[in-house]
Amino acid sequence: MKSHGKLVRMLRATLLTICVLLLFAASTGLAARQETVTMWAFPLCSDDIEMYSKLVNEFEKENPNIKVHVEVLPWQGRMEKLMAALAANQAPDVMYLNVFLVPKLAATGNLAPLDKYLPSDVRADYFSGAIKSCQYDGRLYAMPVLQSVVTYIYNVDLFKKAGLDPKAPPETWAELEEAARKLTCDTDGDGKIDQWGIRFDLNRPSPITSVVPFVWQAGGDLISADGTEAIYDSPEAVRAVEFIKGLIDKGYMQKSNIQGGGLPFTSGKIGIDLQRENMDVIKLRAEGLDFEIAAGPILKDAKKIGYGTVGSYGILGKSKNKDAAAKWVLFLTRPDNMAYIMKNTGFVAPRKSVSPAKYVTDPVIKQFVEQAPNCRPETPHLYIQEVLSTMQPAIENALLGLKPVEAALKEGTAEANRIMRRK
Amino acid sequence: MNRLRKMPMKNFWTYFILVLLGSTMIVPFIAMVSQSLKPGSQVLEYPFRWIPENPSMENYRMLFKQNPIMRWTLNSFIVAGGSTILQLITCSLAAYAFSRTSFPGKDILFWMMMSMLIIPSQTTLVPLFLLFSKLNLTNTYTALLLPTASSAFGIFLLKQFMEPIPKDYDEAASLDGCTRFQFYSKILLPMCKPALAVLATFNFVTQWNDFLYPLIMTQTRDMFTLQIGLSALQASGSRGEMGGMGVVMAGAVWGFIPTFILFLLLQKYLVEGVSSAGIKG
Repeated sequence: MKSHGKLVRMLRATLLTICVLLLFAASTGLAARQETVTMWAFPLCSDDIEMYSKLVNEFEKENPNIKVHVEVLPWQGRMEKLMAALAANQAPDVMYLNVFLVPKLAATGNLAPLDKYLPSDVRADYFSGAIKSCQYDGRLYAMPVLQSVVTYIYNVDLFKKAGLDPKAPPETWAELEEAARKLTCDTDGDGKIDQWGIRFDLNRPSPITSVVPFVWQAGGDLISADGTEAIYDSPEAVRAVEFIKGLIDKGYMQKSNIQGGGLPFTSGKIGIDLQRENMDVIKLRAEGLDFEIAAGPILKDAKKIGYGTVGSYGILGKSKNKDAAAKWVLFLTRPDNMAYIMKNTGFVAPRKSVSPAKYVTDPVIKQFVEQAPNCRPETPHLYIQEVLSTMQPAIENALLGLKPVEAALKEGTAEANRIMRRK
Repeated sequence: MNRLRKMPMKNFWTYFILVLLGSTMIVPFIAMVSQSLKPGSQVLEYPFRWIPENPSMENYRMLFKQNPIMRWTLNSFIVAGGSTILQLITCSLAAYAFSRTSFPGKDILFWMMMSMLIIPSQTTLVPLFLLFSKLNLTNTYTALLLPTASSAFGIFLLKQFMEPIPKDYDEAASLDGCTRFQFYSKILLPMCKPALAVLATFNFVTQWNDFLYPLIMTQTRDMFTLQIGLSALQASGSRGEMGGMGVVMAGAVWGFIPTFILFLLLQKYLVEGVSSAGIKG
């Protein structure tokens, strides 16, 4: 009898425990349907908080079971913050990525491949350069959301005074040199040049935007197609750097430009400012221009290629909400939302279906945007930053005449290959 | 003019060089204040204008309107001020123990503590973040204050200041019935004001300007310190937006004010601390 009673008590306790566990499982199951996506963004416009708040509200209305939390962090220190967060398993689900970050994070398994989330028609809508910059080892690891365009701007008033047609700006290297020759002159008759055809700053912001487009236009590149070696000492690259040096040696630009010195474009004494980005127009207007400007086309030599960085959103590899994160990323890169982001940030949409008319009103920025299909970022290579770090002093030595162009580039390339082999 | 004529030549040149060097130090601050009072269109104009044509507080108005500057400033005060108070307490107590008491292993302990000075702070960032994330303390004031609650440098500084003070004071105080703590708090600490002022200023400025550690440890905008918040302004400022660099400069001036006020309040003790360092006996 006693044992029977004990058995019944045990059965009751077990049944009660099972009921409690089932209830708990049900409640957590209900809670699990509410997913949270965290994203790290970085300042792209004057009020990123407001921009993302609007997007988050709309997304959450369309997806009531997904909550999105966006943190806008400073650019500075973001790598250190990311590394610490990855080590502590506290990384966000989504993060804004620059081009150089994609291969670095993808190679270490810290980015999730996105091929399965991207329909083929959406993929085809992107500019090829933008999509390629987000690929590593043949797989897509980030969704491009914006790009820039780097081309030259020119002083329309000086063009007219020099007898150049401002509606037909230079399109080739030869035409650029000819325009530079006509624009370089002594305006006050004291025998000294006080107006220059060209301004060229090697380090604005880096050789990747200033010199590399010329290397591409000549038919060269920084890294070989198989990604095994640096090749910026190729005959094409040498010819590109020699062309720029020729502009200096012929007196069409101030030598101090190379290191950021000399008269600024806003002085009104410079005809053509090479390698400007589309958002520079906003800055130039803020600085105050008392002359008309226009943007020139991407230059052509053997090829017509310009530089444009690409910004993208990637899903971190350790994210526990990849599907929800993918929905959020695809929402952000939808044409209407992409146009909204471009309107706020001043960047260029990397999708063909996003018409510039939807987000650009400034006529000069429109001229930049029209060049977008001809632009590409640097090769998404694991060691691209290391290669560029060797390129900067090499080109500086060449342009300042400290070393012959070919020798300087060979020296830099050898150093880049040493670094790549060590890694 | 007569005094100038009577001044020995070597003094004249000494003052001339000092004025020149002082000017180069102060010029960036003048430029910063000047830029902060200019409207957006004049901030980046060339050539640079030292006195704004139409000075206005518009940049400051935009700074406060579009950002939670007061919250960020409060966070910075809590972190810098709290860290300074904690260091003054902990470092002075430790320095007292090392300089005026005797206990087993004192020397070993002191040199072990001093060896921490050679460890760069950057190497401890990730381990500290891992530790605090496991304790669920990231994005809290505790995580920001605890690692800076004491410092080897502060202990060393105060120990070196306390050591030359004659032990006769300890004996006299003991004879008068003072406990150790009473001697420490009522006699020793007041004598150490210059060193305490140096430590307070140095630590406050360091913590006020610290960027990387608070950036890694904080995760939400409301916990940012002022330096993190101002760093985010630079992105739009450099693009000529939101009032451009004028707002960034206004932020820089705002960030500079507390440390400047602290220095003004403590400069008497700072000068005393620096000048007494070279005097023996």
